[in-house]
Amino acid sequence: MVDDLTYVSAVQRIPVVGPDPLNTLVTFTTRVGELGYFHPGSGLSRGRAAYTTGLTINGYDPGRPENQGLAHSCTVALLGVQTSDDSTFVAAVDDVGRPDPQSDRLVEIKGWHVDD
Amino acid sequence: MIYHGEACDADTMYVLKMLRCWVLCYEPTPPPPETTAELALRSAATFASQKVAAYERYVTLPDADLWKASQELAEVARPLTAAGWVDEIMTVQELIVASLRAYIPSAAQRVDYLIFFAEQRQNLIARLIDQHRLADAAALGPETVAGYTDYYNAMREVDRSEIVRLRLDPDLTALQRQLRDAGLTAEPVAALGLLIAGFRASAPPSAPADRLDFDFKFAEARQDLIARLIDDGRTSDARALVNETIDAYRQYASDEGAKRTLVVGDLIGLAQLLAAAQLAADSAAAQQAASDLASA
Repeated sequence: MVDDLTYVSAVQRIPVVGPDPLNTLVTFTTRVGELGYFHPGSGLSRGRAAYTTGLTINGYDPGRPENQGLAHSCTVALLGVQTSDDSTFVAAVDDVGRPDPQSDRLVEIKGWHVDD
Repeated sequence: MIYHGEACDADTMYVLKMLRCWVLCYEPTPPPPETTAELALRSAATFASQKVAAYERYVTLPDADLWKASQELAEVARPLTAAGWVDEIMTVQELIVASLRAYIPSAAQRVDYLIFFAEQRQNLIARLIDQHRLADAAALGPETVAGYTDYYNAMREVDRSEIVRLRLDPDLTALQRQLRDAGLTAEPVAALGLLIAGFRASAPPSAPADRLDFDFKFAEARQDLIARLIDDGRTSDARALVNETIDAYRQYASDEGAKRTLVVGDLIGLAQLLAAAQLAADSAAAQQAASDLASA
Protein backbone atom coordinates (compact mmCIF):
# COMPACT_ATOMS: atom_id res chain seq x y z
CA MET A 1 0.00 0.00 0.00
CA VAL A 2 1.22 3.49 -0.73
CA ASP A 3 0.05 7.07 -0.50
CA ASP A 4 -0.79 7.03 3.20
CA LEU A 5 -2.78 9.94 4.49
CA THR A 6 -3.24 10.54 8.19
CA TYR A 7 -5.84 12.88 9.60
CA VAL A 8 -5.17 13.76 13.20
CA SER A 9 -8.10 14.63 15.37
CA ALA A 10 -8.37 16.38 18.69
CA VAL A 11 -6.55 14.82 21.60
CA GLN A 12 -8.36 14.75 24.95
CA ARG A 13 -6.19 14.86 28.08
CA ILE A 14 -7.89 13.74 31.27
CA PRO A 15 -6.27 13.98 34.71
CA VAL A 16 -6.29 10.66 36.62
CA VAL A 17 -4.93 9.54 39.96
CA GLY A 18 -2.83 6.45 39.48
CA PRO A 19 -1.95 3.78 39.39
CA ASP A 20 1.01 5.69 40.71
CA PRO A 21 2.89 7.42 39.12
CA LEU A 22 0.60 7.57 36.09
CA ASN A 23 -1.38 10.78 36.10
CA THR A 24 -2.77 11.37 32.62
CA LEU A 25 -5.26 9.49 30.47
CA VAL A 26 -5.17 10.57 26.85
CA THR A 27 -7.86 9.56 24.37
CA PHE A 28 -7.68 10.34 20.70
CA THR A 29 -8.83 9.25 17.27
CA THR A 30 -6.80 9.23 14.12
CA ARG A 31 -8.10 8.68 10.60
CA VAL A 32 -5.83 6.95 8.17
CA GLY A 33 -6.42 6.84 4.45
CA GLU A 34 -4.51 4.54 2.13
CA LEU A 35 -4.55 4.15 -1.61
CA GLY A 36 -3.69 0.63 -2.75
CA TYR A 37 -2.76 -0.59 -6.22
CA PHE A 38 -3.75 -4.11 -7.23
CA HIS A 39 -3.19 -6.53 -10.05
CA PRO A 40 -6.44 -8.28 -11.04
CA GLY A 41 -6.58 -11.81 -9.72
CA SER A 42 -3.73 -11.32 -7.31
CA GLY A 43 -5.84 -12.62 -4.41
CA LEU A 44 -5.86 -11.58 -0.81
CA SER A 45 -2.77 -9.86 0.39
CA ARG A 46 -2.00 -9.56 4.08
CA GLY A 47 0.32 -7.13 5.66
CA ARG A 48 1.07 -5.09 8.72
CA ALA A 49 1.20 -1.38 8.99
CA ALA A 50 2.24 1.15 11.60
CA TYR A 51 0.70 4.57 11.74
CA THR A 52 1.82 7.76 13.38
CA THR A 53 -0.90 9.14 15.61
CA GLY A 54 -1.47 12.69 16.69
CA LEU A 55 -0.33 12.08 20.25
CA THR A 56 2.75 13.58 21.80
CA ILE A 57 3.34 12.66 25.44
CA ASN A 58 4.66 15.78 27.10
CA GLY A 59 8.04 15.33 28.71
CA TYR A 60 8.30 11.68 27.71
CA ASP A 61 11.64 10.10 28.53
CA PRO A 62 11.97 6.31 28.23
CA GLY A 63 14.85 6.42 30.70
CA ARG A 64 12.72 7.65 33.57
CA PRO A 65 11.08 5.00 35.77
CA GLU A 66 7.74 6.81 35.82
CA ASN A 67 7.44 6.18 32.08
CA GLN A 68 7.84 2.42 32.37
CA GLY A 69 4.25 1.69 33.36
CA LEU A 70 2.69 3.29 30.30
CA ALA A 71 -0.44 1.43 29.21
CA HIS A 72 -2.38 1.78 25.99
CA SER A 73 -5.07 0.33 23.81
CA CYS A 74 -6.16 0.93 20.25
CA THR A 75 -9.00 -0.28 18.06
CA VAL A 76 -9.36 0.14 14.33
CA ALA A 77 -12.51 0.29 12.25
CA LEU A 78 -12.88 0.46 8.51
CA LEU A 79 -14.80 3.64 7.80
CA GLY A 80 -15.08 3.30 4.07
CA VAL A 81 -13.73 1.73 0.92
CA GLN A 82 -13.75 3.25 -2.54
CA THR A 83 -12.66 1.34 -5.62
CA SER A 84 -11.78 2.59 -9.07
CA ASP A 85 -14.73 0.61 -10.48
CA ASP A 86 -17.66 -1.42 -9.15
CA SER A 87 -15.76 -4.68 -8.77
CA THR A 88 -15.76 -6.81 -5.64
CA PHE A 89 -13.32 -6.33 -2.81
CA VAL A 90 -12.32 -7.68 0.56
CA ALA A 91 -10.84 -5.54 3.29
CA ALA A 92 -10.45 -6.39 6.94
CA VAL A 93 -8.42 -5.48 9.97
CA ASP A 94 -7.24 -8.70 11.57
CA ASP A 95 -5.37 -7.65 14.65
CA VAL A 96 -4.29 -4.53 16.44
CA GLY A 97 -1.59 -3.76 18.92
CA ARG A 98 0.55 -6.87 18.85
CA PRO A 99 4.20 -6.21 19.47
CA ASP A 100 6.32 -5.55 16.47
CA PRO A 101 8.26 -8.80 15.86
CA GLN A 102 11.23 -6.72 14.90
CA SER A 103 11.19 -4.86 18.19
CA ASP A 104 11.01 -5.74 21.86
CA ARG A 105 8.84 -2.74 22.59
CA LEU A 106 5.05 -2.79 22.51
CA VAL A 107 4.76 0.77 21.34
CA GLU A 108 7.28 2.49 19.21
CA ILE A 109 7.64 6.09 20.28
CA LYS A 110 9.69 8.26 18.02
CA GLY A 111 11.04 11.70 18.44
CA TRP A 112 10.41 12.17 22.13
CA HIS A 113 11.40 15.34 23.81
CA VAL A 114 13.28 15.18 27.10
CA ASP A 115 12.87 18.05 29.50
CA ASP A 116 16.06 19.34 31.09
CA MET B 1 0.95 -2.34 14.69
CA ILE B 2 -2.07 -3.31 12.59
CA TYR B 3 -2.42 -6.52 10.61
CA HIS B 4 -4.82 -6.32 7.71
CA GLY B 5 -5.82 -8.09 4.55
CA GLU B 6 -7.04 -6.60 1.32
CA ALA B 7 -7.99 -7.87 -2.12
CA CYS B 8 -9.66 -6.12 -5.00
CA ASP B 9 -10.42 -6.76 -8.67
CA ALA B 10 -10.13 -3.07 -9.46
CA ASP B 11 -6.88 -1.29 -10.18
CA THR B 12 -7.01 0.84 -7.07
CA MET B 13 -8.81 0.79 -3.76
CA TYR B 14 -8.92 3.62 -1.25
CA VAL B 15 -9.42 2.49 2.33
CA LEU B 16 -10.24 4.83 5.20
CA LYS B 17 -9.65 3.59 8.74
CA MET B 18 -10.36 5.08 12.12
CA LEU B 19 -8.00 4.43 15.02
CA ARG B 20 -9.47 4.99 18.46
CA CYS B 21 -6.83 4.88 21.17
CA TRP B 22 -6.15 5.64 24.77
CA VAL B 23 -2.85 5.96 26.58
CA LEU B 24 -2.38 5.98 30.35
CA CYS B 25 0.89 7.71 31.03
CA TYR B 26 2.91 10.04 33.20
CA GLU B 27 3.37 13.67 32.30
CA PRO B 28 5.50 16.05 34.38
CA THR B 29 2.72 18.63 34.14
CA PRO B 30 -0.56 16.73 34.08
CA PRO B 31 -3.76 18.44 33.01
CA PRO B 32 -5.42 20.38 35.82
CA PRO B 33 -8.27 18.69 37.68
CA GLU B 34 -11.54 18.94 35.81
CA THR B 35 -14.24 21.13 37.23
CA THR B 36 -17.71 19.69 37.60
CA ALA B 37 -18.78 21.64 34.53
CA GLU B 38 -15.85 20.33 32.45
CA LEU B 39 -16.58 16.78 33.53
CA ALA B 40 -20.23 17.18 32.56
CA LEU B 41 -19.22 18.64 29.20
CA ARG B 42 -16.87 15.76 28.46
CA SER B 43 -19.40 13.17 29.60
CA ALA B 44 -22.09 14.64 27.36
CA ALA B 45 -19.69 14.72 24.42
CA THR B 46 -18.62 11.13 25.03
CA PHE B 47 -22.25 10.00 25.19
CA ALA B 48 -23.03 11.88 21.98
CA SER B 49 -20.01 10.49 20.15
CA GLN B 50 -21.12 6.96 20.96
CA LYS B 51 -24.35 7.54 19.03
CA VAL B 52 -22.68 8.62 15.81
CA ALA B 53 -21.74 5.16 14.53
CA ALA B 54 -25.34 3.99 14.95
CA TYR B 55 -26.60 6.92 12.91
CA GLU B 56 -23.95 6.29 10.25
CA ARG B 57 -25.36 2.79 9.82
CA TYR B 58 -29.00 3.87 10.09
CA VAL B 59 -28.91 6.45 7.28
CA THR B 60 -27.72 3.79 4.84
CA LEU B 61 -30.85 1.67 5.38
CA PRO B 62 -33.37 1.74 2.51
CA ASP B 63 -36.29 2.98 4.64
CA ALA B 64 -34.32 5.30 6.88
CA ASP B 65 -36.13 8.49 7.90
CA LEU B 66 -33.40 10.88 6.80
CA TRP B 67 -35.33 13.96 7.89
CA LYS B 68 -35.70 12.74 11.46
CA ALA B 69 -32.15 11.41 11.56
CA SER B 70 -30.68 14.71 10.37
CA GLN B 71 -32.60 16.65 13.01
CA GLU B 72 -31.54 14.26 15.73
CA LEU B 73 -27.95 14.46 14.54
CA ALA B 74 -28.09 18.25 14.89
CA GLU B 75 -28.86 17.64 18.57
CA VAL B 76 -26.01 15.13 18.79
CA ALA B 77 -23.67 17.81 17.44
CA ARG B 78 -24.46 20.28 20.24
CA PRO B 79 -22.50 18.65 23.09
CA LEU B 80 -19.68 17.84 20.69
CA THR B 81 -19.51 21.49 19.68
CA ALA B 82 -19.63 22.60 23.31
CA ALA B 83 -16.72 20.29 24.13
CA GLY B 84 -14.75 21.29 21.02
CA TRP B 85 -14.40 17.76 19.63
CA VAL B 86 -13.62 18.90 16.12
CA ASP B 87 -13.23 15.53 14.42
CA GLU B 88 -16.48 14.16 15.75
CA ILE B 89 -18.30 17.41 14.92
CA MET B 90 -17.06 17.18 11.34
CA THR B 91 -18.26 13.58 11.06
CA VAL B 92 -21.72 14.51 12.32
CA GLN B 93 -21.98 17.62 10.19
CA GLU B 94 -21.01 15.78 7.01
CA LEU B 95 -23.53 13.07 7.88
CA ILE B 96 -26.30 15.64 8.37
CA VAL B 97 -25.60 17.31 5.02
CA ALA B 98 -25.35 13.98 3.18
CA SER B 99 -28.64 12.83 4.71
CA LEU B 100 -30.43 16.05 3.81
CA ARG B 101 -29.02 15.97 0.29
CA ALA B 102 -30.53 12.52 -0.20
CA TYR B 103 -33.88 13.45 1.33
CA ILE B 104 -36.87 14.51 -0.74
CA PRO B 105 -39.25 16.57 1.44
CA SER B 106 -43.00 16.54 1.20
CA ALA B 107 -44.74 19.74 0.15
CA ALA B 108 -45.66 20.44 3.77
CA GLN B 109 -42.04 20.04 4.90
CA ARG B 110 -40.44 22.00 2.08
CA VAL B 111 -39.99 25.38 3.78
CA ASP B 112 -38.63 23.83 6.99
CA TYR B 113 -36.40 21.57 4.93
CA LEU B 114 -34.96 24.40 2.85
CA ILE B 115 -33.87 26.54 5.81
CA PHE B 116 -32.59 23.56 7.80
CA PHE B 117 -30.56 22.29 4.85
CA ALA B 118 -29.13 25.74 4.14
CA GLU B 119 -28.18 26.26 7.79
CA GLN B 120 -26.59 22.83 8.06
CA ARG B 121 -24.48 23.47 4.95
CA GLN B 122 -23.45 26.76 6.53
CA ASN B 123 -22.48 24.90 9.71
CA LEU B 124 -20.39 22.53 7.61
CA ILE B 125 -18.68 25.50 5.93
CA ALA B 126 -17.82 26.87 9.38
CA ARG B 127 -16.39 23.51 10.51
CA LEU B 128 -14.35 23.17 7.30
CA ILE B 129 -12.90 26.64 7.84
CA ASP B 130 -12.07 25.68 11.43
CA GLN B 131 -10.02 22.81 10.01
CA HIS B 132 -8.40 25.06 7.39
CA ARG B 133 -10.10 23.17 4.54
CA LEU B 134 -10.82 26.39 2.68
CA ALA B 135 -11.22 24.85 -0.78
CA ASP B 136 -13.88 22.45 0.51
CA ALA B 137 -15.62 25.30 2.30
CA ALA B 138 -15.56 27.45 -0.82
CA ALA B 139 -16.98 24.60 -2.91
CA LEU B 140 -20.08 24.58 -0.69
CA GLY B 141 -20.58 28.35 -1.00
CA PRO B 142 -22.66 28.63 -4.17
CA GLU B 143 -25.14 25.90 -3.26
CA THR B 144 -25.53 27.26 0.26
CA VAL B 145 -26.40 30.73 -1.01
CA ALA B 146 -28.76 29.10 -3.52
CA GLY B 147 -30.32 27.15 -0.64
CA TYR B 148 -31.05 30.35 1.27
CA THR B 149 -32.47 31.89 -1.91
CA ASP B 150 -34.80 28.90 -2.35
CA TYR B 151 -35.93 29.30 1.24
CA TYR B 152 -36.52 33.03 0.79
CA ASN B 153 -38.62 32.41 -2.29
CA ALA B 154 -40.65 29.72 -0.54
CA MET B 155 -41.48 31.60 2.68
CA ARG B 156 -44.92 33.10 3.22
CA GLU B 157 -45.27 36.82 2.59
CA VAL B 158 -46.75 37.35 6.03
CA ASP B 159 -43.64 35.85 7.69
CA ARG B 160 -41.10 37.76 5.63
CA SER B 161 -40.37 40.76 7.88
CA GLU B 162 -39.78 38.75 11.04
CA ILE B 163 -37.83 35.95 9.33
CA VAL B 164 -35.57 38.37 7.48
CA ARG B 165 -34.76 40.30 10.65
CA LEU B 166 -34.44 37.45 13.12
CA ARG B 167 -33.23 34.49 11.07
CA LEU B 168 -31.84 35.47 7.67
CA ASP B 169 -29.95 38.48 9.02
CA PRO B 170 -27.78 36.55 11.52
CA ASP B 171 -27.44 33.59 9.14
CA LEU B 172 -26.45 35.54 6.04
CA THR B 173 -24.29 38.04 7.91
CA ALA B 174 -22.25 35.14 9.30
CA LEU B 175 -22.28 33.29 5.97
CA GLN B 176 -20.86 36.21 3.99
CA ARG B 177 -17.97 36.47 6.46
CA GLN B 178 -17.34 32.72 6.29
CA LEU B 179 -17.36 32.73 2.48
CA ARG B 180 -15.00 35.70 2.50
CA ASP B 181 -12.71 33.76 4.85
CA ALA B 182 -12.87 30.84 2.41
CA GLY B 183 -11.50 33.11 -0.32
CA LEU B 184 -14.70 33.78 -2.26
CA THR B 185 -15.79 37.23 -3.40
CA ALA B 186 -18.88 36.80 -5.60
CA GLU B 187 -20.82 34.53 -3.21
CA PRO B 188 -20.62 36.92 -0.22
CA VAL B 189 -22.10 39.60 -2.47
CA ALA B 190 -24.88 37.22 -3.47
CA ALA B 191 -25.60 36.35 0.17
CA LEU B 192 -25.86 40.01 1.19
CA GLY B 193 -27.80 40.87 -1.96
CA LEU B 194 -30.41 38.33 -0.89
CA LEU B 195 -30.53 39.78 2.63
CA ILE B 196 -30.96 43.34 1.40
CA ALA B 197 -33.63 42.28 -1.08
CA GLY B 198 -35.39 40.70 1.89
CA PHE B 199 -35.20 43.89 3.94
CA ARG B 200 -36.44 45.98 1.00
CA ALA B 201 -39.40 43.67 0.44
CA SER B 202 -40.33 43.58 4.14
CA ALA B 203 -42.79 45.84 5.88
CA PRO B 204 -40.95 47.32 8.89
CA PRO B 205 -42.29 46.04 12.23
CA SER B 206 -44.77 48.24 14.06
CA ALA B 207 -43.38 47.76 17.58
CA PRO B 208 -40.84 50.57 18.23
CA ALA B 209 -38.06 48.32 19.56
CA ASP B 210 -38.45 45.90 16.66
CA ARG B 211 -38.52 48.79 14.21
CA LEU B 212 -35.23 50.11 15.58
CA ASP B 213 -33.69 46.65 15.34
CA PHE B 214 -34.93 46.30 11.76
CA ASP B 215 -33.52 49.68 10.70
CA PHE B 216 -30.13 49.11 12.32
CA LYS B 217 -29.66 45.65 10.84
CA PHE B 218 -30.75 46.89 7.41
CA ALA B 219 -28.18 49.71 7.55
CA GLU B 220 -25.39 47.37 8.70
CA ALA B 221 -26.27 44.88 5.95
CA ARG B 222 -25.78 47.62 3.37
CA GLN B 223 -22.44 48.54 4.90
CA ASP B 224 -21.38 44.87 4.73
CA LEU B 225 -22.45 44.74 1.09
CA ILE B 226 -20.36 47.83 0.31
CA ALA B 227 -17.34 46.03 1.78
CA ARG B 228 -17.97 42.82 -0.15
CA LEU B 229 -18.59 44.68 -3.42
CA ILE B 230 -15.22 46.37 -2.98
CA ASP B 231 -13.65 42.94 -2.32
CA ASP B 232 -15.24 41.74 -5.57
CA GLY B 233 -13.84 44.67 -7.53
CA ARG B 234 -17.27 46.25 -8.05
CA THR B 235 -16.37 49.70 -6.79
CA SER B 236 -19.02 51.60 -8.72
CA ASP B 237 -21.75 49.32 -7.34
CA ALA B 238 -20.36 49.91 -3.86
CA ARG B 239 -20.40 53.69 -4.35
CA ALA B 240 -24.04 53.55 -5.40
CA LEU B 241 -24.93 52.29 -1.93
CA VAL B 242 -22.94 54.78 0.14
CA ASN B 243 -25.37 57.70 0.38
CA GLU B 244 -28.29 55.39 1.03
CA THR B 245 -26.38 53.71 3.84
CA ILE B 246 -25.31 56.97 5.48
CA ASP B 247 -28.89 58.26 5.28
CA ALA B 248 -30.12 55.02 6.87
CA TYR B 249 -27.72 55.44 9.77
CA ARG B 250 -28.73 59.09 10.24
CA GLN B 251 -32.42 58.17 10.15
CA TYR B 252 -31.93 55.38 12.66
CA ALA B 253 -29.87 57.58 15.00
CA SER B 254 -32.60 60.22 15.03
CA ASP B 255 -35.08 57.83 16.63
CA GLU B 256 -35.63 57.58 20.36
CA GLY B 257 -33.77 54.58 21.78
CA ALA B 258 -31.23 54.27 18.96
CA LYS B 259 -27.74 53.04 19.83
CA ARG B 260 -25.92 56.15 18.65
CA THR B 261 -22.51 55.07 19.90
CA LEU B 262 -22.68 51.97 17.73
CA VAL B 263 -23.76 54.04 14.75
CA VAL B 264 -20.83 56.40 15.16
CA GLY B 265 -18.49 53.41 15.28
CA ASP B 266 -20.07 51.89 12.19
CA LEU B 267 -19.79 55.15 10.27
CA ILE B 268 -16.13 55.55 11.22
CA GLY B 269 -15.57 51.99 10.01
CA LEU B 270 -17.37 52.80 6.76
CA ALA B 271 -15.22 55.90 6.28
CA GLN B 272 -12.05 53.86 6.76
CA LEU B 273 -13.28 51.17 4.39
CA LEU B 274 -14.04 53.72 1.67
CA ALA B 275 -10.74 55.52 2.21
CA ALA B 276 -8.86 52.25 1.79
CA ALA B 277 -10.72 51.75 -1.50
CA GLN B 278 -9.56 55.21 -2.69
CA LEU B 279 -13.10 56.60 -2.49
CA ALA B 280 -12.11 59.81 -0.76
CA ALA B 281 -15.32 61.82 -1.27
CA ASP B 282 -17.51 58.98 -0.04
CA SER B 283 -15.21 58.41 2.89
CA ALA B 284 -15.46 62.08 3.83
CA ALA B 285 -19.25 61.91 3.73
CA ALA B 286 -19.26 58.94 6.12
CA GLN B 287 -16.76 60.66 8.42
CA GLN B 288 -18.88 63.84 8.42
CA ALA B 289 -21.96 61.85 9.41
CA ALA B 290 -20.02 60.21 12.23
CA SER B 291 -18.82 63.63 13.46
CA ASP B 292 -22.32 65.09 13.29
CA LEU B 293 -23.79 62.26 15.33
CA ALA B 294 -20.94 62.25 17.83
CA SER B 295 -21.40 65.96 18.53
CA ALA B 296 -25.22 65.89 18.59
